[in-house]
Parts: sequence; structure tokens; C-alpha cells
Amino acid sequence: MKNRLKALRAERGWSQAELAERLDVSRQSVVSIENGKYDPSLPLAFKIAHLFGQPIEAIFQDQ
Amino acid sequence: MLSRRQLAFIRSVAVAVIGAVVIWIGAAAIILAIFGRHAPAAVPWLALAKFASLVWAAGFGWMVSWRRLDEMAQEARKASWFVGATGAILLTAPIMLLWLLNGGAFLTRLVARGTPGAYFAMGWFGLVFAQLLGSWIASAVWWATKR
Repeated sequence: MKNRLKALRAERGWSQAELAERLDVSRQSVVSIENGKYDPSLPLAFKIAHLFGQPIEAIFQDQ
Repeated sequence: MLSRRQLAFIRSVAVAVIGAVVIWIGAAAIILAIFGRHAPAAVPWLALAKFASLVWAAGFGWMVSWRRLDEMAQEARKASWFVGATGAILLTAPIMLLWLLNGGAFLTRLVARGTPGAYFAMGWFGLVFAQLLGSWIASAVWWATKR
């Protein structure tokens, strides 16, 4: 699954560690999600969507 | 600087370890006060106290640390245990074949002066060690594929 997490994070000037802290996950999880190596669960995807104020489908796209 | 998640994990481990020590020392003090310092009757109770402290450390530490993990780390643990531990059981199965082939003569020669207790401990720890090793390897591979 592709996602715009890296771009959205960069827009806000957040580091990976800062985003991880806001999502209550490890930095490794943020790295893996940004690189498309790990697909988050629905609850985490909703959390990400709420954090960036966008619908899930605007952040995650099926490849 | 440590994150909130890392601090919570360290706190959980500390509670598990300190709790185990308190259980062990507290129970041992009560047992020795009741039975006296060198009474043989105290031995099984002291062993039980040790076991209770280990159960506390393992149970509390494991459960709490599991809850502290984020979903990706939980996913890694599940996959590692499934692949690593079952793989280890399959890979160590030939040992059982050796035992079946000659009634354990090979293993008896291997540990010539072993007692039944030693054999039991060796079997249990051997299985635990193999499963831990298998799951660590599987975990390392899982994380390597997610970078």
C-alpha cells in the first residue's frame, strides 16, 4: 500500500520521532509505514487520518 | 531522550523485577521464621517461593510488556513465535528420532552421569532454548524485511 505519510509529516515539520510520539507507536513503525513496508491496522490508520485531518483514502492508496 | 513508550516499558520491567525480589525475600523470611533456619521442611516451601517470584516476573513482565508494545512490534512477536518456535520444534525433532532408534542409548552415553532430574531439566531447557533461539532469528529476519 502506498501512502503520503512522509509528505504530510514534512509539511508539518515533524520528525519521525515526533510523529511516533503523537501516534503512540515506535519510530521504527513510522519508518516502516512511510517506506511502505508495513501496512497499519485500521485503528492506526484512522488515528493517522485524524492526526492529519484527512480521510484515510487521501493518505493511503492501494497499489 | 527516552520516549513515553520506552519509559513505560522500563517501568514495567522494573516492577516485574522488584516484585519478584519482594515476593522471594518476603516469602523466604516468613518461611524461615515459621520453620527455622536449617529445617528440611522449609526446603520445598522455599522452592515454591522461588517459583512464585519467577511466575510473577515472567507473567507480569510478559503481559505488561506486551501491552506496551505498539501494533507493529506485537505483529513481529506473533510472527516470530509462530515461525521461529514451530521451526525450532521441527528442527529439533531428529533428537526424538535418535531416542526412538536405540532406546535413548545415544543420549545416555552423551550425558553418562545424568540423573533423572538432570534429564528432565535438559529436556525442558533444551526446548525452551531452541524455541527462544528460533524466535530471535525469525524476529531479526522479520524486522530486516520491514526496514
